[in-house]
Amino acid sequence: MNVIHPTSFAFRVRHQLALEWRAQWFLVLLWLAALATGCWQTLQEERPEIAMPSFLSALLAMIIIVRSVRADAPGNAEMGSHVRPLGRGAVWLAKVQFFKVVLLLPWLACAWPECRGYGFGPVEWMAEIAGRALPAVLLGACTALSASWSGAVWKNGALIGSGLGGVGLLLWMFGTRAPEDAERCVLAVAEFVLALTLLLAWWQTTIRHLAWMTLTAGGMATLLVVTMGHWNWRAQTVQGYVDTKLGLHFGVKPEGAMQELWEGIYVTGLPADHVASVVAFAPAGEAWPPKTAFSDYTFPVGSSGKVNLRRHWMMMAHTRTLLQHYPVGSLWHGKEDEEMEELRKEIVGNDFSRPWRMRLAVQRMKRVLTMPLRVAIHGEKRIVLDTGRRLDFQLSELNHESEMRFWAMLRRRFPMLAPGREQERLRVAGAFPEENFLVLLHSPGILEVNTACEGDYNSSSGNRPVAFHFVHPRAQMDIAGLTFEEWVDDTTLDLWWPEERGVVDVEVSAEELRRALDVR
Amino acid sequence: MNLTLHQFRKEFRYLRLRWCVFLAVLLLDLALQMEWVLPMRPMVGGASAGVMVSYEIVMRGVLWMVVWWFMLSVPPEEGASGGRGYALTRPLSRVSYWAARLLVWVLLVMVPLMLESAVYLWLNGRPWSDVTLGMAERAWAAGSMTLWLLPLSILLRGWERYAVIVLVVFSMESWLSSVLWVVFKKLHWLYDRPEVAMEFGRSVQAAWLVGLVGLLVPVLVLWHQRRPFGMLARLGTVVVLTMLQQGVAASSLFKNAYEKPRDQELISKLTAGREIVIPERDRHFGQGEAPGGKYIEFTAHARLAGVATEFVPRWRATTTTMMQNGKILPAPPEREDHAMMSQPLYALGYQYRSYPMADALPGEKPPGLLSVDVDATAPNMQFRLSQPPQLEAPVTVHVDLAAEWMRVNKLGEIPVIAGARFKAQDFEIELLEVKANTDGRGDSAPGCVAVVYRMSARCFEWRNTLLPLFPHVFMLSDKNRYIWQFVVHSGYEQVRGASLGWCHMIQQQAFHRVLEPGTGVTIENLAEQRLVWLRPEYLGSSQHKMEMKDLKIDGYLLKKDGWPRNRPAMEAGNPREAFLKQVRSLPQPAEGAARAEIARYVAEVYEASHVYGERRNRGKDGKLKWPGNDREVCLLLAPFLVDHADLFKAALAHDGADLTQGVVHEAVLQAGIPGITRSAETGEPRYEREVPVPNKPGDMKKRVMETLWVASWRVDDLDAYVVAIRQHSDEPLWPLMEEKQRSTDEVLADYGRTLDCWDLRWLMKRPDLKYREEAERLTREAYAQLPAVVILERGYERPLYAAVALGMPEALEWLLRGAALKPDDQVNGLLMQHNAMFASLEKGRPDMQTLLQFRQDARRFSAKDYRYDATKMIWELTPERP
Repeated sequence: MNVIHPTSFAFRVRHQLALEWRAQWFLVLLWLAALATGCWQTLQEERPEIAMPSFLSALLAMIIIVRSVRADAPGNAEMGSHVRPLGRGAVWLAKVQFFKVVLLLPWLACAWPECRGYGFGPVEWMAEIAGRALPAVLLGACTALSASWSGAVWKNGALIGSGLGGVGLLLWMFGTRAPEDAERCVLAVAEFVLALTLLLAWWQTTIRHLAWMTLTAGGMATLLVVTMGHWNWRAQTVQGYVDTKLGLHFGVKPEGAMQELWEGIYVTGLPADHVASVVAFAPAGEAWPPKTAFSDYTFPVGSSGKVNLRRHWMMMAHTRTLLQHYPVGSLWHGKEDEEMEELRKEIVGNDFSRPWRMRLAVQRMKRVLTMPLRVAIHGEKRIVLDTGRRLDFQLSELNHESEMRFWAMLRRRFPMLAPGREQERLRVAGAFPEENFLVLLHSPGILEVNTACEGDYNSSSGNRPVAFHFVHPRAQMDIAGLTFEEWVDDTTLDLWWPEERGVVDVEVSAEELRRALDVR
Repeated sequence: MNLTLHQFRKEFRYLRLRWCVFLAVLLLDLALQMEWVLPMRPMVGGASAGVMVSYEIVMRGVLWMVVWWFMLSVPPEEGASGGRGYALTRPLSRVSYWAARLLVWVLLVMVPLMLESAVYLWLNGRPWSDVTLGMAERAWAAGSMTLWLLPLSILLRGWERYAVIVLVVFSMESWLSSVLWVVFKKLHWLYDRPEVAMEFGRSVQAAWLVGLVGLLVPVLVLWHQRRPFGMLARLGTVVVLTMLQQGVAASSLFKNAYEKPRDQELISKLTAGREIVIPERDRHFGQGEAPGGKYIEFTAHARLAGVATEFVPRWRATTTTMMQNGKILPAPPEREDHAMMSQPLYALGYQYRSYPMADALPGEKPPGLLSVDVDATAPNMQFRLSQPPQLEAPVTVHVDLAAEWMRVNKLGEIPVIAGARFKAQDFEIELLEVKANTDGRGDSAPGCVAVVYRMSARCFEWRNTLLPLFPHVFMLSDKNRYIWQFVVHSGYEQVRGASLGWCHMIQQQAFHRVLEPGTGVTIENLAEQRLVWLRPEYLGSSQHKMEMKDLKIDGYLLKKDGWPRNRPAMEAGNPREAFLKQVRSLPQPAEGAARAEIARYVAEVYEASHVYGERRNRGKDGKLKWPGNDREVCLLLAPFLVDHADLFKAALAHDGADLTQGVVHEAVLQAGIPGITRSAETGEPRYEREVPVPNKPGDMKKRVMETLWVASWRVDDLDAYVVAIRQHSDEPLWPLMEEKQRSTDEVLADYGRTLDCWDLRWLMKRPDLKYREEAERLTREAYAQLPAVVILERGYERPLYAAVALGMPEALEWLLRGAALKPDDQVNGLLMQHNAMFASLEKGRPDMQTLLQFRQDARRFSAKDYRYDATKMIWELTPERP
């Protein structure tokens, strides 16, 4: 039966919205306060001593939804929701609008303080918003549906059983480990389908339609997505380096600009500030590149045939590329980059019987920061290295056994729904290489470039503590009477970031290899 | 009674389906704890397997949620939703009603939970005494978790019950709890958060106190019946009660049962009147900055003189006072974890890795037992001091210290064979896997042995084998007299049954440097080694005072032994060539240049010399890796020596004299000093000349100086060279050639500081017995204080060498075992060991071949194969040994 309403649909929705606000304003303000506190907490380095529980804002949001939905739930006989002159459609839409405005939008707005300062572009921002909205909508729709539908014991039991069943299903499918990238993509699609299903089901229950069909179809679709979905938009294909000038030279060191990979093997044709790193060097074969190939990024673990990623893969060649940016005759010291000549010899040996292949990754050294040391040692500095990567650093000790120590944190933040980062195009032995960068102090007055010695760091996932330190110019201080303050005033701090430009495979004939080894 | 039973039957009829759900979950819990479902397995990838939650924790959460749900369930007309009408008019007294509710709690909740404990313990073969205790503990613990919910069914209606369950579960770590935490901290009532999985006693006591003894819940319910609360108040009440329970549990109202000292009297007797000993080499100062301001961090390795090594101390400062120029400096900012660190149990946590268990191992142990892979000088004392306004001015520091003392007990041991078992009354071990040459994470690690074992232990609140500190496993080789203690957990610790009084866990640990040449342990004889489980006990604490007078902190902040390590950032090739190239690229000051310019140039050259210091490294054959010399650089610097000698003196104190000596050599050669010529052999200057004897006219004496030494510890010698160059005369050099004889007392005093083998040998040849006795006493005393670690850290090895030179066979055995462990590329580092045994440096530096042979001999022979020549104070292989 069609009901004729004396007022427009929009007016009725606005009216219901006002009702919702009058009924929930206190809880909404509480929720906003909790949300703001939670947002502030996530920005703190350490969890505050009096920390708000992270679940509180979610709980408040759920309480608001439950209260609002139950107030006009079809099963709530006290409210007479079926005979209200507003119409169930208007009530439902008003509630959706209310949740969107007071819950979803503030929740999404929290992305701004949490994600700003990471160099996000429009794509990343949209992905971040979507990534935050999806679980929120799913939880909200699930709560709304439950609140709308619950009541009788058997219904409540069925709801709890469904919840536990869902959790059990997830545990069964994914175990207790964190999902992989590909699984995350599938789960995101599944979440989307499920959220739509639940929203639709809630609407249907609100207008007194049975939602079993929708729930069954949506549940089946979600299961199908989870079990059969194979999406992975996060995966990045390997980017090729396109520069026809790049080549390898074997034998005697050539004249002109070149990069020495090892004695006897040189990379020519690299533009200024560009460096090549060896991703893989192995006999040419079908499974290319093999995991056990020689690489600047990995090292073999005993004779197990396994390789581990190296924390520091940047070589002296990266530092050498920067020579042109600093005065001639400067003494470059500090960071000790490991060269892997011995390891390469061990792997390559004297196998000249077959052709080899080399995969090179080309990077461009990009200066992302230059700052007087006097400024750098005061307060915390936040530097965007690349989209989604930020280096926060601050002085920790001015003088520790003649070393200036900095505490630093390499922060990574990238929306889980966005395609992989440019830096993630390169995979070595099936994994992403560690981020490397170079911090240096330039003191023109004493002709020194002091590269940072990186200290220990704990993990390769999430935020990575990266301590680094510089030695004081003790010789200048002890012999020439340079004071600490003079040194600080004369020095600038530069930060260089290797920007991935692509990879290129180069064939190496047995003859060329022999020629390279003959040089020694 | 009839009415009570009637009401109980009524409730049971209503609750029976829910009870079945509860029983099913309880059965599932039992199955999980018994490992009938989801049994524990060693993690293939170790910690890298990425396990996020434990099934046991998930199951515990589910079980308690179901229990609370059941407890909050009442027939609709009896609950808060049903209104008060029925409750007021039902033909049943309140006493009968509440007696029936109590019956529901006892029979339907407590009895099944207690039975689960009993069945679990019985199935695990625990004795009846444990079964009884387990049931009692379960009643005590479960009662505190459930009884307070009994009246809440009247307070909460409908969905609020589920909200309460969620609130209680999630409030374990909540804001209100943090508030209480801070309040307790400010009031100095703060204790430690209870370890819920294992140590729930304080939580339980707090729950009883808050819920029932404090009568808070019944009072609230009565209040509500008269003046009903609103919804938020009802829910908030539950949250506040839970928070209160959490806060009280963390307060000092309830002490941890395990923290009670075992033998305070013994510690008091043991430590009374003894002096704190901190060798100079073990004192470290660093600057730091915290929100409260700057401070000085003091760390040290301290011991109490004369206390046996089985007693292990951990020190903390209770008060510190620093004075400078007669003024007391403001207190340093307090550590954020200060309260935590002051807990005895926290203090004991460091012991396993940082204390050589060879010293602390209880009971009979192989004589000469040594620890492998332990940092014997890791700091056991750490506190903050004020940052003085003048770092260079002396300060006096007074510190009140407290020491917590520990001793370890042996729980059990098994051979290193997969399947080996050990069973004691309250502790069981089964070795599941032994993996050689792997680190337990699936990666190859030569020399490493990883073991996977299943440990079961009694874990009642009142009788616990695992607390306060977990037992730790060590690998012991009786035959080779080694104990390996540096362990790496490479697998997630899976636990079952932790709340039922008998827990099982699977752990994986890796021991490094076991299957290495020199240890005597091989894959073949791995089964002969033993795994030993040790458990520490807290004996008690002692209080002490310490004073550091006239302390100059800036001296500690600077690197004491030379400039900080530095390396070239760009040149990977020949450092000698790179150094020369770098120096050539520097603009050289013109003749008559300003002093500042010259000083800067000299400093730049020295800095480069320091950076390219690797050019002086020698290979295994003892020859320079990068042949050549710095003559060209020295020639560039030589012109500045005479006029700016102070610059070179400043450099000499830090650079190890290599470059300065070269500069001096070139300058003296250029100066045409009589008697100085360039040696054909070395290319360096030598001095040889017939000179008149002072005060004996006509007498001549031949003076020879093969090398014109310049040493960083004799900076003033440089003046003699400068004067000689200025005057073009050799006379100023003569005092350098006259060996200044030290008196025997001076040598003895030096020996007391350095324990130098050379001095010892000299002293032991003195005719006066008192010097010999004193040298021997000093040696034996220093030797007795050595940590029982096979490879001693730098600075600790001298007492060992001296003891070897003195002829102590046990010291020789120690030295040989350390030498046997040296890998091929570190054989160069056996020079001092060789000298201690054979006084080889008196005859010249032994070559690489000799050191390699020495290492080989150390692996083949023991102290018994050597005899001591007391006249020469050296050791010789017995003739019957080849």
